[in-house]
Amino acid sequence: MFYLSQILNSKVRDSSDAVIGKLVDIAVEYNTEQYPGVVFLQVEVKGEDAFIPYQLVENFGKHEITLNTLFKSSFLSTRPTEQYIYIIRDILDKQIIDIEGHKVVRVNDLCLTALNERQHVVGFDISLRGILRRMGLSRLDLFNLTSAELLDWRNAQFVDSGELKLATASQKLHRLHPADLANIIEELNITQAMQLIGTLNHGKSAKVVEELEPDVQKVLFKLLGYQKVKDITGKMSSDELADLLQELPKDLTEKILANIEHSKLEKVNALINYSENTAGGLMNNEFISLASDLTVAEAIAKIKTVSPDYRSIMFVYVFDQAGKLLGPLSLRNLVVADANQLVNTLLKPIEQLTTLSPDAPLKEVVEVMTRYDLFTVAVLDDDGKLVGIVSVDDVLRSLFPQA
Amino acid sequence: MTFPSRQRIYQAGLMVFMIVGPGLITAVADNDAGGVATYTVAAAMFGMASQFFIIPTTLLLALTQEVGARISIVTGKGLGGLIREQYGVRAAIVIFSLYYIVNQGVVLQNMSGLKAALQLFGLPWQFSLIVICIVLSLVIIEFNYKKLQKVFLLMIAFYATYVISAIIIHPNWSDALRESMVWPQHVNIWNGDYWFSLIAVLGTTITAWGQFFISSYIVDKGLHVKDLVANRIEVYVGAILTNGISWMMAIAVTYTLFVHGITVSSGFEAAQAIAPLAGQFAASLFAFGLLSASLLGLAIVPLATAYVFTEMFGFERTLNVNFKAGKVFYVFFLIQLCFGALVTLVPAINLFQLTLYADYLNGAMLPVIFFFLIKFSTDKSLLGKHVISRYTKWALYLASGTITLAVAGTILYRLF
Repeated sequence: MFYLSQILNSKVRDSSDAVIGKLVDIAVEYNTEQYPGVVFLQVEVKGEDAFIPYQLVENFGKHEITLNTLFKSSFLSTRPTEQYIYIIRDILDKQIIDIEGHKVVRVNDLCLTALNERQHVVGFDISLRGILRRMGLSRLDLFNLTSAELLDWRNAQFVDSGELKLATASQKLHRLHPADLANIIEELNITQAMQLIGTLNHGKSAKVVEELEPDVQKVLFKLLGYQKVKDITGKMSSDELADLLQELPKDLTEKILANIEHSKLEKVNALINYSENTAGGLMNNEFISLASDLTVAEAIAKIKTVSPDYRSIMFVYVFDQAGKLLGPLSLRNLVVADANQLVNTLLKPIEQLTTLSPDAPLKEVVEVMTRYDLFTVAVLDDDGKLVGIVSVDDVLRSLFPQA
Repeated sequence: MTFPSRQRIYQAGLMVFMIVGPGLITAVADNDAGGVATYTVAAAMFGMASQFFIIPTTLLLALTQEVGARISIVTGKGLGGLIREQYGVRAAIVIFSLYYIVNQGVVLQNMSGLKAALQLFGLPWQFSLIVICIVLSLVIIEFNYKKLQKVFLLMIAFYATYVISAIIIHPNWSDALRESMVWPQHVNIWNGDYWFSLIAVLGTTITAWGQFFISSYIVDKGLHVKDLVANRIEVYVGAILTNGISWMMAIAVTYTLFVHGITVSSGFEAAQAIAPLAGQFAASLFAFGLLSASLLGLAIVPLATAYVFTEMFGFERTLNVNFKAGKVFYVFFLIQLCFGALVTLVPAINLFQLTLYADYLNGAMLPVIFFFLIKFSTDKSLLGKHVISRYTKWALYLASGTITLAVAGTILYRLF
């Protein structure tokens, strides 16, 4: 295995053993799924660039590269027209996304190795040791304090290398969890971030946007263009959307509100006026309500039909005829119960029902949920009407916004 | 001729307000403690004639900042990051080492400005200095980006003290305008010292760290090509405001010290000398101005260092993460601050000499930065259709040439 820094500028000899120039760049195939093979060597010959196909290389060594042919002037100024990656021009010193580590890193050096008798680029050195090696100062590290940190080629995504942009983002990147993608986006610059979001489908981009820091959301929404904003907000959950709208400039908020579907608009409007860090600000108002006279089988049938409209369902909420909340019912209780049983027989006694008012501060929310070991807690308005649900992930998010 | 509609004007105003920050903060913070010292010393010596270059200086500052800002807005990369990408790791290390030393020097200048301000207030300066450094570190570490920006903007507001102190001494405004913008009459313009003080004033307004900071800050703020015009307006407003403040500073000094023939060698001496002439209130305003100038410098310059380091060597950065996540970023900040404080606290060290060297180094760094500015701003593969126009390019050449000559001249003059 070689490091790029060890072979860069090494002498290139032709078959007559004459030194024809020095290696200045290496062109490889563009392939994000497999290690790319070397296709051309860019050699500087008396101040001019020559492009030598890899087939003509006889020996690819650390200090010297020899060709199996005599130097021909036709090598000069024949830059291949195909879209290759030039590893120095396009990769070295540039930023790439480390897909496994969910972060943006800078390439300090590259690793090449022979596979099937051809040199391939296999990875990137992103460590301090890479910098020392580039400077020819590896020996400075007497006690081996630094170690090479290598990133596999297949786990990297380029962000800006000439024409090879994020439009061709690898499948691996798309398969990441929205929260991890959001972390990556926060480390990119605004142009790159918009490109990356542009490659995601609406559902995924909505989930990613929900995970972004409010400041980043704000900047993105101002620039993404109206159509994309509309697509993304259409897929966002109403509580996240309500939080976001509070941050955005007024004209943009109005535009977004004018275009979301009616049922969602009501939900968003109901949430938008509660202040942050109160039960009202934390809650979401997407919950399934059931009449108390349904049987378990009917209840499960209803959950199945409405399920696609909900982000997550842990509990359903049972109401009497007058619309008064009788209590939450977990999916577990529903699943293990007898199909003909009425749902109100499964409820805990109403005396045990714990609820919060919308202006309960975060501290109270945490106390109540901790004391009663709750995953979710219902929020009732002054008239005793259920207005929303605070779930434990909403609380965690507001306690540790940086996570 | 058509006029823009009211709505358009309102929207444009709103845009400028939303992106306000990078240009304004960088420009005003250029008037740090080192700047205050230079302006006051020059004004005590030559009166308002020391501000004779005010208009070209404003243009130069605005032009260089605007080009730097444009590069970062279009590429989405800071100047440091671009140097690493375009010129490789060796260039990056050399530039960063130089830059680190320059900024450490500027931190030292501001630390000694802080010391002077504390002494003017009659406080036990060693103790107060340590307390202020601790508070400053906590603010930088604990506050998020938005709050921090508000703190910076608030500190900028404190520069108003210079405007107030200029007004309360009842200067001769028409004389001030004539001396600084038409033709100086109270000095012998054939005096070599006079020209060198003009050049020193020019050199202290345009700083190495300012060029890097504005570009990093823009990237962090996520400004986009759409913001180019609004940003340009902000940069120009910032430049005019900055030089307006230094002009006011010069007025306050001119119509107290200069007219009485009192020369001083530092901001500290100036504030002390003003008290018997213009009253304790004016002197206190001066001390307060020096305090806020030093604090703004102490907060921003180490940040500017950390920014460039993280850009060049790819460590995690942003003002948005807490201490743990952005370790390298904040460690850098703390190192520069602590080193500055320690050196200031050692009585045996001649601060005045050290701050002078910091000026030389800053000057030596400027031509290097202009080289990169010109390279990047004319590179079509980087900026596409946003490369600077032919006229801007020549203006930039002229600006770089002028500043380089000015700085070289000052250094030579001071050395021999």
